Amino acid sequence: MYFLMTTIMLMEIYLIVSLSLNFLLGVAGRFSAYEAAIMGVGAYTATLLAKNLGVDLLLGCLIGAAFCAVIGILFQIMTRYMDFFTFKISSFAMQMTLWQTFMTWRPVTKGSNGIYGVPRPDVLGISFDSMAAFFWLVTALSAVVVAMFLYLERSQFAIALRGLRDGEDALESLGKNTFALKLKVFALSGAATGFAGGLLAGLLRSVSPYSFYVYVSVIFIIFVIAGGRGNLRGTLIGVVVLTILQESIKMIPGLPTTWIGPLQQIFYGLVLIGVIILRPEGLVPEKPIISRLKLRNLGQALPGFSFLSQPSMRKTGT
Amino acid sequence: MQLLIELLLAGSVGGVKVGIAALGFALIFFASRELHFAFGAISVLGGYVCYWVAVALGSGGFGVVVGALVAFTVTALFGIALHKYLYRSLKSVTPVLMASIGVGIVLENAMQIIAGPDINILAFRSLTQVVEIGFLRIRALDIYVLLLFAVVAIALDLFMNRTRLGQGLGATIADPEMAELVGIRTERMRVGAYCAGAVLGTTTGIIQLLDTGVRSSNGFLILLYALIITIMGRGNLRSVAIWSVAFGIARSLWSWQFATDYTELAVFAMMLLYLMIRDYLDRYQKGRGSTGEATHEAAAAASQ
Repeated sequence: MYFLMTTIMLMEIYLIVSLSLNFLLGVAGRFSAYEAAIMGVGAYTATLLAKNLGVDLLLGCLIGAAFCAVIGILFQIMTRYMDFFTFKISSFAMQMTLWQTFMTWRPVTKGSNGIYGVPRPDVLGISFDSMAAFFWLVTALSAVVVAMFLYLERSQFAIALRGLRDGEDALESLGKNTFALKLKVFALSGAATGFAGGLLAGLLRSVSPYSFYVYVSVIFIIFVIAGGRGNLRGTLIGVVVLTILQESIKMIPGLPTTWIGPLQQIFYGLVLIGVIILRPEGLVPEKPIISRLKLRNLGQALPGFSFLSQPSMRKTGT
Repeated sequence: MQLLIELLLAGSVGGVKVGIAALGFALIFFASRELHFAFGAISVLGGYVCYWVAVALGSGGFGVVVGALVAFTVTALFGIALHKYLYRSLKSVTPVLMASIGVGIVLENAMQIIAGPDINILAFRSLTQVVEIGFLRIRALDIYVLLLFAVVAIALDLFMNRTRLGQGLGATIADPEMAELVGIRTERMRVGAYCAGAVLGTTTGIIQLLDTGVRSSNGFLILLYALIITIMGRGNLRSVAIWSVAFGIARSLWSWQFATDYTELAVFAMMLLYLMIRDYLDRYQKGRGSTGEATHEAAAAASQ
């Protein structure tokens, strides 16, 4: 029971991060690989506030989320004029910079030992110290965040972001401020990721840099790619299925314990290669926006606004 | 003064060890425009293959040489196979990136299962002994590595600028479509670049094997440094070589002045800041010229 609750909570936290990454990577087309480090920033902020200043962990999560949003905005300002490749590499460098900060800023983060004994939240006199209470808290909060993302996916904002992904110049010529859009999406996804990091600190009751290494970022990318870029429900399915499969690797009888970690990584690698070769658009592909309008029977409708960047496709496709 | 020279030397040795891999990665990236994320894992695979062959043959100098040859062959074939059968069928940038990340993860963890998480090292007294040149004390291995890098960088430069094949490769890097039109077989050039890149990466793996030992998790760091140096080099192999030395020297100068703990942090932060400032300056200069493209081409023409 304890194991099940922990797994489900982990799944919910990963779900929040993957949804925010899908918003960034799938919907807005900004390939970033620093989700784990941002999650770490949220976790450390919440933990330090809770431990040193006596702030409630939940409030700490919110402050951490705001801080992460600021970092996301700063990162977007830094990478404003970068091309595609440089942007990707910069996001990796950003991940490593933040991770090294966790490792080396010993007076504050306690280095590689991490911080132990994170107090769980206590809201309006209700204590969430026990596992079951905290489980319901995390479930409720993540349901709110997931619902917010699912709502945002169908909003005008997301349509503008899809335009940003598929035809930035065209969107600019329509009078949209693309840089402001990018800032908004980075702030949004940074905030959600940081919030999830705070919840993770409450779940584990400790933070250590090893929870936020670059492999974790890669695993989030795998969740998004496998579930389907630009379709948040796909990510939902992807996270649940992959986490269950990953946990079931542990159940294989007679497996040496040192093999579990590598085998899980190999599993994720194989999933990534398999999805890219067999079904590049992901398990649940993004639906063409145009099908929601009058042109429902346009057979060759493309996902999102891809027709903007490939004007000839519409003519030759019929 | 003596300390400064020693630091410069130690820094260049550190930079050069990464620099050989960075040259290999840069060759692959510039020629094929594919971010080959499995590169680090393949380099480490080369180190392991060399180790296994050398141990099987009885660890002498002969075993290492045979092991290195076997490792070069294996990794080059592996790289070419990846390019031909996986990357080329994907046709686009992001899928190739994803697939190569997947291959890298699988390879790294398979090696960890097969070889265990421990460090494998081949130590030779003749390589680790300290040589004294004047007041400088330096390990024999470091001298060889410096010489090797100089040879590789100069040979690559001569190859790219003086030979017909190298000019073809340069054309493929500069403008693949045009190169195809004038009759250069760009696909062959790419395969060649993959082959050479794998060999250079394996060289770094073998240097690690002889120096500090090779372990499966080293691959990612090799890859990351090679990636960042390649992006800093901007399509020019000469500047990749210079940047890798500058990177090593910056690292060692930092550890001279400040706490050694913060070296990695400082290196990554400096790289990030450099990339940011470079692109902002580019934008600024483009904005000043009458037409951005024209001034850019003029600058490129003037530099050649």
